[in-house]
Amino acid sequence: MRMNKKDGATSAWGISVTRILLVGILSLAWIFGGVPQRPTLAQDPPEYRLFMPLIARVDFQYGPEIYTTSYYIKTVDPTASYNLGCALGARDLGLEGYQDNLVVLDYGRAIYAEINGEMAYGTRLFITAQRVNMDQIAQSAQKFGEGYYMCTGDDVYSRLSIGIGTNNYEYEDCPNCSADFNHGKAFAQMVNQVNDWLVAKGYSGQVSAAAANDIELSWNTYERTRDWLDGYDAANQYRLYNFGAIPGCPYFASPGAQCGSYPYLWSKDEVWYVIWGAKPVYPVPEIYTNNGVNAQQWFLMSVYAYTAHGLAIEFPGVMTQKQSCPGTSYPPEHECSFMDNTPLEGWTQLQTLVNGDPRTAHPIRLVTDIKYQ
Amino acid sequence: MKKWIVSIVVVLAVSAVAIWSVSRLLSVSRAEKPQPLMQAGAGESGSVRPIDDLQTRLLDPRVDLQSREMLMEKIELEKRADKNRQAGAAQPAPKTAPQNLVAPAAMIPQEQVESGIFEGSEGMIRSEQAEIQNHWAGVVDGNIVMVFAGAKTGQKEQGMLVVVTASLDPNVNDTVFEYYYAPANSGILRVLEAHEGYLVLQRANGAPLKFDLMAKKFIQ
Repeated sequence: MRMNKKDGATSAWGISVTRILLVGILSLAWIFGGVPQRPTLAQDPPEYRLFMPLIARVDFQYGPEIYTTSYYIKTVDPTASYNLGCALGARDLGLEGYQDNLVVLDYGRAIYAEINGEMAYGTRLFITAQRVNMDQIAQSAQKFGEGYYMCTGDDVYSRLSIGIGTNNYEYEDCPNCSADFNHGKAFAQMVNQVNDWLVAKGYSGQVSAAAANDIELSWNTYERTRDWLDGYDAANQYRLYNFGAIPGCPYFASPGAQCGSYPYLWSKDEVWYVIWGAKPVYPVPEIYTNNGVNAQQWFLMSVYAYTAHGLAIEFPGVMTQKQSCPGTSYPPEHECSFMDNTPLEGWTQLQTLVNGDPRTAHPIRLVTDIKYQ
Repeated sequence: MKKWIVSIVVVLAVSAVAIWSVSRLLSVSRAEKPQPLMQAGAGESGSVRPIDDLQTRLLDPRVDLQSREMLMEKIELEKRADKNRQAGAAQPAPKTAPQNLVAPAAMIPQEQVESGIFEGSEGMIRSEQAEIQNHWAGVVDGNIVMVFAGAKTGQKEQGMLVVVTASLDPNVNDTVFEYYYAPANSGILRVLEAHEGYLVLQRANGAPLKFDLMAKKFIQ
């Protein structure tokens, strides 16, 4: 059947009208919804993004693809600290969406020593071995946070938790080692002050501070380590991340293994206390080993926490050290030859094990990769 | 012609309804969209679970007393962090960078580097890798150098050094770890003395052994 000329012209005209109207409707919807963009002023709440024809919900991004860099600190120079924070803030500004970050700044082992002319609690920095007091640590962390805040620009939602770090390393007859109650208490007071400063400066909408401690079973006794934790717990107002390792603890091929190493042997319940049982503590475990043993050890400790105490461990995140291993091959004695998990590998190892067991299942959100400053 | 007028009117009416629906949908969406910084119990950055979930876990009868007390404090900490975040979101600082901080950081003054011979490893060398006795630290050729002396873990007869080199420039991330095995049967090593350009090490039997800091090799 042939269509007559008049019917054909009418039909074409109708299609054109429909197209024009559709374009008009979609344009109006676009105008009503606004252009997808970040807010122009930091203080203004951002418009929700409308991607035609769908309305998109803005969620925080995290996980192994959006990992952060943590640092073993060698200087507390304010500009250097500011620049490190700024680099992360600029990254978040450049990324679509909003990011949720954890960064650990490890200032070295705990000391009580003459620092800047007077006896004080503080730490001994990595590489330079400079002794710094709590005020210097606080200022460095504050500048890192300030750098992040400023350099996120018109991204007013991305956020950062700074883990202000030390460790439990001590050695025999150490003249200034101070991983004890009083140091823990002073450290908590310092972290409290950093948070007070962030609130007073108007940065706390995006930046917060917590303590962090690289608690390694092979570096100290349980009693000494607990003493520091108890000191922290006596004054803290904020959480503490344990970003340590649990060498020696059971793994699949050695379920009866003894935690720690001579002369520092730990029971499983002692390990449980310093990684999860202490009130302020959340673990961000080092998942370094390529063969998965680190992940197995932490998963089995979570199973222990569930069976012995009724509450499995919550892991806010994991730590890797791939950026400390920039090469592709290392001699066998180099730790990078067997401990250079990428952030994705480390996260996948623990996430898979923890979520493969209903007793321990929960999403692991944050990933940070540590290197020397 | 009349038919077309009716058609246009119908299409316009449908369009009006569509526009109204879209705008309505948008307003509802905006009203219902939670403020990301105000999410109930979202916890601080790095939080593992909303506060509500933590509180729910308190109801689990399997949770023992110790864990229950621990959970309650964790919840309090989350609440305080939330309060801070809300305070910051309510009155955010203007984003104007302090000009004195917007520049490359200065070089670390050489006098800030604590030079000398120190016990232990400062936690920089893992016990799985090496059993460290002591170490020397100082500045060599404009770089910070640390030399850790000891033996390979589990093989005390195999002495070894771990040499760490880093720049004095805080803007550069260039820390390098290198490993050097001592000549055969040296046993565990210890740093005894530091001289210009070389270290004197002590072998297990007490005999000295030198290590050239510039060439990074043992000198018999």
